[in-house]
Amino acid sequence: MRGVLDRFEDGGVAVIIAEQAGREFHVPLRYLPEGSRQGMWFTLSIEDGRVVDIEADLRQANERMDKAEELLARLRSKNTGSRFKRK
Amino acid sequence: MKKLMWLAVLLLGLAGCVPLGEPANPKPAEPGQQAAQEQSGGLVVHYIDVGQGSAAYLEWDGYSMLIDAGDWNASDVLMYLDKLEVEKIDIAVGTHPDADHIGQLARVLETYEVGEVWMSGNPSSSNTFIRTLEAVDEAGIPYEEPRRGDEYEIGSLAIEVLHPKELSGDTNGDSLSFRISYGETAFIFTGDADIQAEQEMVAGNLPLGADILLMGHHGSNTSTGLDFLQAVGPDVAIYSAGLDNPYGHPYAEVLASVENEGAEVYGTDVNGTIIVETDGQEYSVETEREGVAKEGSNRCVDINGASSAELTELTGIGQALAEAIIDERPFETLDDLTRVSGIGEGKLAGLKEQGLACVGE
Repeated sequence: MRGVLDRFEDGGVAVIIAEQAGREFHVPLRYLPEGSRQGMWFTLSIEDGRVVDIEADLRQANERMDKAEELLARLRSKNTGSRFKRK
Repeated sequence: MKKLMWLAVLLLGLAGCVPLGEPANPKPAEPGQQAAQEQSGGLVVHYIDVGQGSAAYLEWDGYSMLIDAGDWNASDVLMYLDKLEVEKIDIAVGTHPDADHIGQLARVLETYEVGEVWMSGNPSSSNTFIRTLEAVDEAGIPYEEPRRGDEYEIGSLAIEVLHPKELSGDTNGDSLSFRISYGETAFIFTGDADIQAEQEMVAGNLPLGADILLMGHHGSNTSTGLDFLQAVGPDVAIYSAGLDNPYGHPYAEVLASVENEGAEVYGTDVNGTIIVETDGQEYSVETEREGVAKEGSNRCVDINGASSAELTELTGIGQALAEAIIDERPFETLDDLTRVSGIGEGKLAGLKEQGLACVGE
């Protein structure tokens, strides 16, 4: 299944969320592919509910990040400012 | 600003003061009633129990605001808003794009009429984040990225933006942070902002004094540094964390530090949803459950990092087994300890029962 490295948490844990499968995995940093960082996408092999293999999916990571940036840019360009702003 | 016990609140209510025990106005006021509502209204802040995540809902004078929307694979925020019979939300904030903060925001935007969405501006490549932006876009909701020094006024509520001044790219460190005041009562929200961000807020010459502080990053020791804590000087400190969460939130030293500064601590893990009500002068705290805030299980003997002496604190582990454990490192789970000759299922069960061993990096 596919998962994205949502964040790092205390105790040296990477929180990988597999959104389509509705599952979340906590993976110790040493098991991550080299150069893994927040926003990285992975292909995960799961056995008995545990991640047994993890492979970076750079294409998916770039595609999703581009999509997020594009949407942010779009929202910013449409922004007319908060109606509650005083200063 | 004075904190009152519930008994005191009720007595004051009887004596003719504003009865804080009454629910606030969850529904938008009719235009003609606005002035009257502003005079007699109050602010209610719900620190919603969303397990390991964060969500707060504020309602006052017929207005409302949501600060973060819980974890991505839950629906507790939606259920809570439904229970409150919310009809619209004036401002919905995602303090930063992590899925334990913006988790249910997309569904909130799809379910309710939302006036504005505020975000830090840092992206995430998760579908949870992308779906949130798509929901903003599709509903044509105005989008705002507040920055330090910005001020907003919504009815009798004032919001001063404390952070960030500009984005650094560190999602936690760039968490949107606010001082929200209603009359003389003030609240601080900082998302998962870390101690460096807190230092910048302290150095930023903005007022930080507040009665109620939502402790940063679920009570982790990455946040709620002493300088910031002293600048805020809260009477009440609240953290939002899941019961028995795997990260050890909140940290013992952070709880101790907050208590040493004279704050009363509440946590959503032990107290459930925590509701603070204020008339702008006095405030009261109501919790779903009674209980004393307690540190998470982050004090453990790390089988991958402990010394041989520490390992012998574990049930059934003597010097020889401690050395065998060190030779066999690393372990991915406690169960893998059975790899060590001399540790069988029985010994493993004893270890687990003791609850002191953990697997660290």
